[in-house]
Amino acid sequence: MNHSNRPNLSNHSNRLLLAAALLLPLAGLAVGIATRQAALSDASQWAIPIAGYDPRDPLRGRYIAFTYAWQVEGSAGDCPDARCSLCLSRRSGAVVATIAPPGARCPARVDLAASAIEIRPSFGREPAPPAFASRIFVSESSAPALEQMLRERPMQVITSLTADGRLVNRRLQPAP
Amino acid sequence: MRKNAPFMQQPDGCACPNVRTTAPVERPTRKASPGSLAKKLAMRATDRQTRPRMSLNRKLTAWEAAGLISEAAATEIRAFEARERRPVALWAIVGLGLLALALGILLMVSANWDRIPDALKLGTHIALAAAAAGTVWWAIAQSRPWLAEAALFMLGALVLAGIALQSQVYQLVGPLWQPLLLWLALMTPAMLLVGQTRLTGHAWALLAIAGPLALATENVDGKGIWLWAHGAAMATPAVLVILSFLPRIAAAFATAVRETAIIVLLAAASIAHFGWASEVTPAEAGEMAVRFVLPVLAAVAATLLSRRRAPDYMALWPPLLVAPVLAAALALAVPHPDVWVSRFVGVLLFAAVWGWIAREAARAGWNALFAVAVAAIAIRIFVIYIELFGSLAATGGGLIAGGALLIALALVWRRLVSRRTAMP
Repeated sequence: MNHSNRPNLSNHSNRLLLAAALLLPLAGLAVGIATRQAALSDASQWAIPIAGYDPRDPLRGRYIAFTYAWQVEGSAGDCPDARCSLCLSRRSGAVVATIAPPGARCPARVDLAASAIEIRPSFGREPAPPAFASRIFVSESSAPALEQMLRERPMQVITSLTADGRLVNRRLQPAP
Repeated sequence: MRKNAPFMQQPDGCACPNVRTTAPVERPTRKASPGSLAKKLAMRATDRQTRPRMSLNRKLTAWEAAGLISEAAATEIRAFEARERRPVALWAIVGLGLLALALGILLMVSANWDRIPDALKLGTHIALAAAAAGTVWWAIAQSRPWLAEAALFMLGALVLAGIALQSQVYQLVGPLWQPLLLWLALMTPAMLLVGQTRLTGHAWALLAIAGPLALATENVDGKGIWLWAHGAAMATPAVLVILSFLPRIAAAFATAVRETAIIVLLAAASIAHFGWASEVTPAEAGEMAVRFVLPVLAAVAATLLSRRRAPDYMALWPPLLVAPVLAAALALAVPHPDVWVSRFVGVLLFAAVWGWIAREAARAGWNALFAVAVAAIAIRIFVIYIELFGSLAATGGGLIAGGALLIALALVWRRLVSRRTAMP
């Protein structure tokens, strides 16, 4: 090991620089946790029914891919390049997602880009509302059971909708 | 200069080993001393730590016996080698252990995801990262550089794992560049201040190149600000060379950063020059010209700084830093059709860049770089035969001629490298 420029704590400025450099990653990680916790603490909870995007193969790597089986209203033309939003509401116990053009205001707005929700075409009858696909990380131990449940019975995803429009998938569970 | 210095300046100016002028002195033989077995083993272990490698020891004994060097010179060489000896094998094993440890932590977290509460996962991770940072501080205070380096490596791995862990806990999704750039922002100051070895230097430099590259490739067809983002990614190697000359960075770390940057720059420019083998429209050339503004500026700045900070290799920096960027810019930012003339121009430019590098490497005594440059030119000349001939028969003929040419170039290359290696 070369002895030149070896870090040392011989003077005050060295100590200060080194302390700052070593605290920065810890502070960065802590701020990340705090920010996300704060966002989730104000979030509203939504239980949304789901369907496997490909019912034969819902598990993709360490994620389960699915589509939200909510009732879609509005025109797909209002959603160019995924820049639109969805307005969530409840009607007779069902979750309704209304496609809203960019800039539209609503009390429970889902930002598709921030939520990493993909818009995929629905196959079959035309014109059909698009499918909104997402995914959730699952552990290696719980993945087989969840995969089987998705094939065999109705499932729902418990989500948190933050104030800035990010829909966070929290967990999967059987639909009531 | 001391009379018995192992390497004395000779009258002809050569710093050669001292030629022995006195009769050989009989070496003292080590007699077995009485004592317990434990004491003998401890003495043997201490002896193993301090004496130079066996092959060198044998050679020194042989040189001493042949009268090539004096006993004093041999003793001083042995002492010097013992002082400079590095525990490479030990640290290779420790490095592998640390890597396995980091991967093990990641896999344990993934496998037991459901059983561990989120708060416990995040809290444990922060505690581990804090312990690694504290170990770095303590090891520096205790003047234990290897421990500081290992703890720094662990801290870097933990921060990367922590970013992934938060993504999983909070179900964050996003492009690859986001975690990479976040890691760079959090770890770069510690890496530059504490990093001492080539291992951490290479690792940091690779991530420093990968982050901006991932950002640039996120939207390859993007216009406007995206063109400048692409340019920033292309300028990264030159920026790394500039950073490597910061005053507080350790020599081995800085060398590793420069090596990584130059290898990436030369490889990227060599691949980019194949742009001569496809059509570049005026519109594409205009966009590429915008992309090349930052790389050219960074390469010029890196060259000027390198010439000041490393004047011993002053002539080597322009061909290593500026020439590849300019050659790539000519290939991609100048409109041209896909005709054989443009391909031939590309080959000439490629040969000019690597020829310049070979010339300056030979002058600076960098034999390995010289060999790589000659090999690059030889391979490129071989490739042009495949490029220029279209039909099956012509390609076959081209391959025969190219193969013969490659064999001839390999023989010339071997002769050139052998000659340069043999030179003092």
